[in-house]
Amino acid sequence: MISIALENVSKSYQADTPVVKNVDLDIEPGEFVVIVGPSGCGKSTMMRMIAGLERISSGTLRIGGRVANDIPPQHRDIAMVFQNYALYPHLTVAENIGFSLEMRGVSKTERLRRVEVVAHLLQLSDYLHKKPKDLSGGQRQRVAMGRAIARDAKTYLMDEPLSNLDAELRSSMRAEIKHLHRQLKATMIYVTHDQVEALTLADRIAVMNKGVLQQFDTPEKIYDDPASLFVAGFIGSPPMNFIDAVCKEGLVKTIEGIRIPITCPPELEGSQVVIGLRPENGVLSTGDKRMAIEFPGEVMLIETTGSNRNIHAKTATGPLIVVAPRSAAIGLGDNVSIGYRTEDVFLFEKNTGKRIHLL
Amino acid sequence: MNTSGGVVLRSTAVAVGLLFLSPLLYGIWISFQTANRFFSGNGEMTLQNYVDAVEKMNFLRYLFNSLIVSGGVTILSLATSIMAAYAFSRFEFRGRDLIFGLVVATLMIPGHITLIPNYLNFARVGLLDTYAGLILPAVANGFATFFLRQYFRGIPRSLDEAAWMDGANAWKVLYRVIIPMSKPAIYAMGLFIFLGEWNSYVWPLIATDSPDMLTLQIGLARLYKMDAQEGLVNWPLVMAAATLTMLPVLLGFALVERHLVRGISMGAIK
Repeated sequence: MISIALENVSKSYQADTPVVKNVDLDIEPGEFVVIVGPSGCGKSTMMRMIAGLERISSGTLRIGGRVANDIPPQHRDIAMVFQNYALYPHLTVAENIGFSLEMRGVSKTERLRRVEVVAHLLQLSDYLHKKPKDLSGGQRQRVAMGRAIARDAKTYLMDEPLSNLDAELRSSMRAEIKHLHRQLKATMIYVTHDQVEALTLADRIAVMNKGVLQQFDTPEKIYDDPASLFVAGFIGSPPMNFIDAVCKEGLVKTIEGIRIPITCPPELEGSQVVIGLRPENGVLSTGDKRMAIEFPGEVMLIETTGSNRNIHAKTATGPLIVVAPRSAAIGLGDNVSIGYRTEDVFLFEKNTGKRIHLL
Repeated sequence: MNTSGGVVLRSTAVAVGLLFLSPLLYGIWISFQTANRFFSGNGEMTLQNYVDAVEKMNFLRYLFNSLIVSGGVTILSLATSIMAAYAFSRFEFRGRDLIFGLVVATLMIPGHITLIPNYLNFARVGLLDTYAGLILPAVANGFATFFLRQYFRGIPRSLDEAAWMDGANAWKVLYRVIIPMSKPAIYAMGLFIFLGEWNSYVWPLIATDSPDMLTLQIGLARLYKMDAQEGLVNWPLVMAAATLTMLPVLLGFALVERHLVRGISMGAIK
């Protein structure tokens, strides 16, 4: 177990166009950190800088407290699982898994023993003599994992390792990765664009957008207390509803003039804000208004997700999505009211996207 | 394709194949004839030409020389080309593209232009009439460097990166990942270099002098002249020697053909 710290780290391929901007990240020994963000947000670049596969343009990387900017990848004691697995096609599964041990001069007997242990752990024992081209996607993924865990690295990096798998396999591999982390007790950094992976796997999540670290916190805090409009919109499924509004006379009013009974901080008087409402916090009703905030509307679309239904409604402030139990007797075209408590409301500055904490 | 179309196509292929093979087959046919039969049409078939060729031509010595020179050039020029191609395809360094451009530009220089400077240089350092003198001029091979660099660029970089992460250094990445994955290209290039060197005539002709340093091609040419009497060349003997000269190359091709075909089919599956 080892700590990893990024201090004011930036990366640019061309001058003045940084892909990672001034990132500070403090990863505790043994922690499982997931870096999440949309495509091109710099998350993979950040991981590759930690691995040593990309040079750091400015800032300091510390591995175990030691400045590691100039340490070559093979001396960082980091194992990595690549998105496309990067298995050596000319080597068998056993040779792939044992490759890192061979490179480190581990004896053949010990290598075979470790390969067998790893293969057993990942249910690959029957495939040890096959070549990667003879394996299924899920098996290849497990070989890639096996190659990384065959040696006791202090840190494991995983670059979207599940993105090529089908939904069922992905879910079972997620559980396996979580289980592995518990067994290995190593520091793990995992990159994904999938928020479900991030929320289910991470001890802490680093949310990135356009090269900037938006928030670094526990999954619960990220979900309950998003630091910015971007984080609020990125984490949560279906995504958070956003309504444009302004702060007027100490209260929030939507553009259409609907008053929301929450108090605006005085310094924001007159400025544009965005109201955020989680679909799963909304209460759908067809009867009298009972909640502090109500948006009357018409049901335009119903998506069944299994246990619930996502109701898309057209309201005076624009489209809103609300998660309703499957038992709710709602049909297309019904007139409904979507209600929220005042404590369910998130408020953001429109220009900066920063969260406004309500009193 | 319908059946009759297939038959026509195959028959044409066989006919063209035979057409290309005919001089070779004719040569081999002649090599089994006595001189008498060849010139007058009367006489017997014989294996004596092969025995004579081996004895008169000092065949085994020339074969040994050719194998040393062709094998040496193949191994050394593959080694230098692989390393150069690896550097050009994988490392960033100042002037890389310019240097690579110069390497490619050497392909445009005809070998005859470098013949005399090479001769003078090798004479100056006393390497004429030595194996080193026969091998060294061919060791830097611009075409092989270019060809292998293109092939290496097709190997995903993530494999190098995976090897780096697994603890490999630049050399180990080269010989444990890049070279094994490039076997078809390396075998193909090796075969071309070997063939080119095996058939090389002009440089061995001017760079060797003593009878013990001649290569097969030079020996063959000398045999041709040596055995001509009153303007008549003993063609059956020359053909027997030519057939013997060809055999090691055919054997070499048979050995690496498997890798060449596998390389082609590997590319097709991808």
